[in-house]
Amino acid sequence: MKLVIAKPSFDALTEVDPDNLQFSSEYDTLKYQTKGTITLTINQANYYYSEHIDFPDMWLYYHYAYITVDHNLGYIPFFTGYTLDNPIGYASVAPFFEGSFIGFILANIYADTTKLYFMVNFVSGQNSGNVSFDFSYRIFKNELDII
Amino acid sequence: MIIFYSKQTGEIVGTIDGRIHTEEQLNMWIGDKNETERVIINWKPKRFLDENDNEITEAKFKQLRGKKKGIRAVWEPEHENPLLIKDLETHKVNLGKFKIIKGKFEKKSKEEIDNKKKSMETLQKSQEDRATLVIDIKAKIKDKDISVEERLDAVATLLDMTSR
Repeated sequence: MKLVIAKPSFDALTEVDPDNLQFSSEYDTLKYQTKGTITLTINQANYYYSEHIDFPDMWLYYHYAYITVDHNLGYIPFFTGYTLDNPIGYASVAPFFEGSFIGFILANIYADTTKLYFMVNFVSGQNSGNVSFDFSYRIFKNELDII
Repeated sequence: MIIFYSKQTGEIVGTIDGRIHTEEQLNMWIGDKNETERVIINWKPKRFLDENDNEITEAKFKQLRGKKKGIRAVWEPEHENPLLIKDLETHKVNLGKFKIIKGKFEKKSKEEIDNKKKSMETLQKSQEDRATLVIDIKAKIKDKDISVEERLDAVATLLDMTSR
């Protein structure tokens, strides 16, 4: 028993080319579960490491933080994540990385059987003030099934 | 829509989008449960329209639903500021522009919003500027087209950028 919806002018009873079908239960599909947004705010006073460099003569401060979404599915789901406004005005598929000779930003999303983790690791010349990173996420019912 | 916010500051930390939530979504949480709280915004069908956009009763709607094309319900958020919730749902409004105080939404001051935007812009701009300058200096050194004086100027510029 199967369910097939063919594109206009094709016969669902006989058509086998997937390009001519709108839906076929013979192929697995992603089952959407949840979407949402996350804002991760980092207080730069809470840096985990600092170092002085000679060229240019300055202090560098290393920052790391994460926030979680508890999905509680009991397995690692298929998920997607995006960083918003980074660069400003753009959406990037996570992981997002940008680096130069004395600075970098890494924004990543990863998952285990209970949570999605939104993390940011970056270095800046600042040890005060807040910096916020916005993410968007999608979780599907499908099990990722790769590890 | 479920909105999660910091118990301490009222800052919104994340959302679970949607108008009707499954049991699984209601079991989800954003952030540390000891540090964040949630507000669940319920949506309910408030008005019922026929195929010509004329308002009809709920009883009439139930009677015609599925039998006639164009019959529909208009859903509204159950909140004192439905327009804000509608904008949040479509992400016309950045979540970072609001915080929640004692269960109520409060618009952040322009200064708070500007500071947030400025800190991110400064971080990105200084990274881009440094990268561009380094590429420029490298190109000049390769072409042996840079004097000691120019090198010192470049260092001074870098120092100026990093002290911002």
